[in-house]
Amino acid sequence: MTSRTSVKRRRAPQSYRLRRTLGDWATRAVLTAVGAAVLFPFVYAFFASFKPLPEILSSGARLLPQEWTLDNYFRAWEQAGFAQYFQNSLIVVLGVTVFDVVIASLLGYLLGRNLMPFGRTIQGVMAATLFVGLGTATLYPRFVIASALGIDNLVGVILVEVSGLTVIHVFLTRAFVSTLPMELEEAARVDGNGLIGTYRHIVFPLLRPILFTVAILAFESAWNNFQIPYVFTLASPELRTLVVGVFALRSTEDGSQAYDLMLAGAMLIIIPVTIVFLLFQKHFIAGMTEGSVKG
Amino acid sequence: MCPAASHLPRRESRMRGRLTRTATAIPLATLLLVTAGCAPSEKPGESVEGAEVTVWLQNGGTFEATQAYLEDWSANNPDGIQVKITAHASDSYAETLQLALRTGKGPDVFESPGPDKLNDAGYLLQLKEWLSAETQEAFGEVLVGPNPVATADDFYAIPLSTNTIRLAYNKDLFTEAGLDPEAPPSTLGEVKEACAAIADTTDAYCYGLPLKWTAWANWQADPIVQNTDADLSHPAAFNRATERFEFDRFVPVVEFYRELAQKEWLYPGATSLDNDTMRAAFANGEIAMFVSAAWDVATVNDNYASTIDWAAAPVPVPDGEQSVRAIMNIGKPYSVNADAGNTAAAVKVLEAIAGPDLQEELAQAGSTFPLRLDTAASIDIESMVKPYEDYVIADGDVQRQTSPVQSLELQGETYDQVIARLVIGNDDIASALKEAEDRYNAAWKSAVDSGLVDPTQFVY
Amino acid sequence: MTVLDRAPLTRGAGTPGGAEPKSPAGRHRFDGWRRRERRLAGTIGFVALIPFVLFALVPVAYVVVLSFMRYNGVGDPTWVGIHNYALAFADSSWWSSVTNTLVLAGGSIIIELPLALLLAVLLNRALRWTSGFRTVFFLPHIVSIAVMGVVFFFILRPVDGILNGILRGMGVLSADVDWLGSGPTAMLSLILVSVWSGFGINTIFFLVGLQTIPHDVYESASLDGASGWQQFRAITLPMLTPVMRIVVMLSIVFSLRSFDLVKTLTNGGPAGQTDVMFTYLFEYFFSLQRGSQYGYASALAVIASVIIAVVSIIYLAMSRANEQRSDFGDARRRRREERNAR
Repeated sequence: MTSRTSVKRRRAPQSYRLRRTLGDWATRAVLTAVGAAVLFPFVYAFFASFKPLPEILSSGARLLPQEWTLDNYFRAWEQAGFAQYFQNSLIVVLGVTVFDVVIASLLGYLLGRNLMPFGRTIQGVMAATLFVGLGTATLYPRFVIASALGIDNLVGVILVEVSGLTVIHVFLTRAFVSTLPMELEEAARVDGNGLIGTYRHIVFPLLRPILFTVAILAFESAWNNFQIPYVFTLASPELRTLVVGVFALRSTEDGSQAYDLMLAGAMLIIIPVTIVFLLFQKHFIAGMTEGSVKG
Repeated sequence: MCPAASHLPRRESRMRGRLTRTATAIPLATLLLVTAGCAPSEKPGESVEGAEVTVWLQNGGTFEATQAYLEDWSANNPDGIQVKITAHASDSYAETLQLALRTGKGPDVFESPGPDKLNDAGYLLQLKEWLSAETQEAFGEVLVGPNPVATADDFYAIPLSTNTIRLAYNKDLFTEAGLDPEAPPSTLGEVKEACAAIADTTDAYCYGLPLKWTAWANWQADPIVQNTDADLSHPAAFNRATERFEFDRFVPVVEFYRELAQKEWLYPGATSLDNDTMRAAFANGEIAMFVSAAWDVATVNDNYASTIDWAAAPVPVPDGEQSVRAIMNIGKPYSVNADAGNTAAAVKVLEAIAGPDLQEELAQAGSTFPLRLDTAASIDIESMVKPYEDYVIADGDVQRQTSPVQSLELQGETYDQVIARLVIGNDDIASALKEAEDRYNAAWKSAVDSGLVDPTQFVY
Repeated sequence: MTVLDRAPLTRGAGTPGGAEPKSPAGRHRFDGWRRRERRLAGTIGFVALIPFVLFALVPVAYVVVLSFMRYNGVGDPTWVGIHNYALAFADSSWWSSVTNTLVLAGGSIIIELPLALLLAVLLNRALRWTSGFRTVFFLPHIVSIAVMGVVFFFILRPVDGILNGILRGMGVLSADVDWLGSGPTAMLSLILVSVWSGFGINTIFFLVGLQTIPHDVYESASLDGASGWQQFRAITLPMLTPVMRIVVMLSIVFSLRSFDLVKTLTNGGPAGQTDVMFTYLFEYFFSLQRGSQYGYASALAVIASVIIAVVSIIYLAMSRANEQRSDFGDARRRRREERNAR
């Protein structure tokens, strides 16, 4: 490769190291500044959750509470029946993650290796639904369909949420599958495996990295989802998930909002998902790296 | 014998409603006399023993007391009716309820904001022949329509509280500004003078206008206009006599608020201010005045632990106009689901909610301004925390008449959005209001022509 | 080219109609066990697609059908043909919201992508605490934007708002700014919060992309004397093109679909100046200031989807065209063709 500049000698190590160190420090500075800006709202919300309501509304400019109170948390826990909602959230999140991983891996494999009839059409249709905002407009029909099938409960919540994740997650797994060498699958065939055998023994284990990524994305999406569990648990409040429970704490009958409870509840929601991500972030990234998601 | 109209399928009962409305007065009166004496009947073969009734309440001021009362009632009522209560966040309560009723998952007994809209959809039980005579008498005229809870011949919700509308003002700030705290402004011009004084002498802001609140115009713009003409229905100034929307009446209100905005007499951030934050600031003594409703008493005093000395006065009128009435809105309507599991049991629960015990408890706590006549009479106004007495129903307080806005297919900006835009901007007021008025009148005409609305509900 | 096409494969001993090598015309591709397998794949695939079909496709079809009807929740829907679409074209508030949506999306992407790329490059230097920074950057993405919208609302308040407090303390501002109180600053606030929320995942995408570029390419470039910046332009950017394309596409689609953020932060205010497509149409489902118009709202949803599709297709077309033009694109295309022919 010829470059436009003339060939220069390698620079002397010392000034190179100096430049590198300065570069390192500059890097650290930028990263820290951005990190601080990113963390600030969380820090603010954290401290605000310990303020009593009048103080939240009138002394917003102060970061630290003048009057520390744990009352918001107690009331949020009690009034929102957090223990039950926590359980429901876990059920939904686990259900969504499992279904999503299974579906995404299967479809990623079948579509990525062009094993299904109408594969191209299916992908086209899936891409098309990306453009549609599966939001308020589709809320009512989704609920009606679930009711008709008798699953207008947490099962319905799980399946509806999965339907919203399918497109992107299949996209991820399909791309990953296309980077897998075919030799392994061929070898499996030679050994007498059929479609299912190949999938079980060879493909699925190889997909592990991207499936980790998919699982984490599914987890955080399901954990934070509001509209769907909200609509589905209208008649059955005992099935509410955590996010729905926190939002139900608002009380604007006379026009007032229980920001204090919401902030405490918000903190309680953020913490579990943060912990999960902290634990699994290496896997999360590894999934995408190993797949080298390419166009 | 009590007619069993409520057992008809929903669509039929609505049609029946329309037919009987056009019937002549005499058979109607006879019908009324006959049914007035009816006791609630149980559906043949349906007993209330041990029935389970689901109840929805809005999270808010009266929630805890109501819930406690109902739980107690559930444990002790002689029929063994079990009550299952659910609380819902109130800012999305209307949507939640609509969605639930639409999908057939609605509760049996529920708070029913916008009951007229729900009734049009056929979700509500027609209560006249189900409710006991005792309860009906206890509420009296408010159950006789047409008004938001009643048609001419039946009613479908029991309103438990009333929201009178008043100008809330901070007496301390008035004193500080050299104004007479016992002589609050009565016209928009006088409000502006007061604002000038307050701006000169105090650090506080004169007026709180929470433009982010979706209902702000209903409570802070409409009343000023509505009080000047008894023919106007609410919201959006639909004139029942001329059968059109008259937005030109809003011109003085828009000019007034625009002037307040431009002179920076409004609490800052008006456009992103919601009702909560505004009232918290008022409770803190940072705002001098705002047009308020009775529910603000509990909020300002209790929720925000206010220490200010405040009072309420009649809503000001535009300069040169006279106040002919003071509109108020019935609050806290409760209804029964037309498709309730056990209608008779549900009605009993409704009667418990509307009954004297709970109502008196809520009234004594200052949480409501009871519409139940015996309860209202029993309150010792003097002993209630200030300024409760300023909001009690007085002469001139009149239930608002509903305008057809909620049924019209309007596209584009709604009148409150137009007014908000005009207040914070510099667009020409008259032409913007005219453009919106034309759209509204066109929608009204189209709705009447297509049969979407029954005009007799909204005009004389 | 699929696994099934490679010749010759034996299924195993004893399978009747076993391994036929692929005929030149490819006509016997799906004979025998291949056809059975294809059917099995089809069955499994379609079962896996059931949730998607039931809860994504059918509802979308419902919305499309409803867009040709007039329905206010009471009684039955009535057919009105393209009436709703005609109304939509005349609805100037709708088109304002479309403009707002495009501004929000454009503004977010212009700020977010270079920022994400920069951070990815910095993180790629693999200093200590990289994983800590990665987590911090990703945090906004994993928390519900609706919840954080409330927090930001408080941060941006003109009176007693902490952002104003900080900026005044630093001397940047002389008076409190009502961030959410006027159209331009509200839009800016929305853009910045949107960037805050979304840049984390894009940083990670870019980081992943960067890590697939082999180091020796950089090394030989250094040996040739190319500076950091030149390396960036000549190596990094072109090799990131595929990742970039995905990132931009997804960013476009998701920012055009914004709802939660706008709803909780500004609710379309002040006076509708930050209404985006999906917050605008929400009103026609649930509003107390007008009659429900589910048909009209559905029509708006369909128009919104078309707009999103058009924008995405324009972008794809532009980026493909760009690629054709670059030399490197040629090399990549050649390599891709080779891979496909394998």
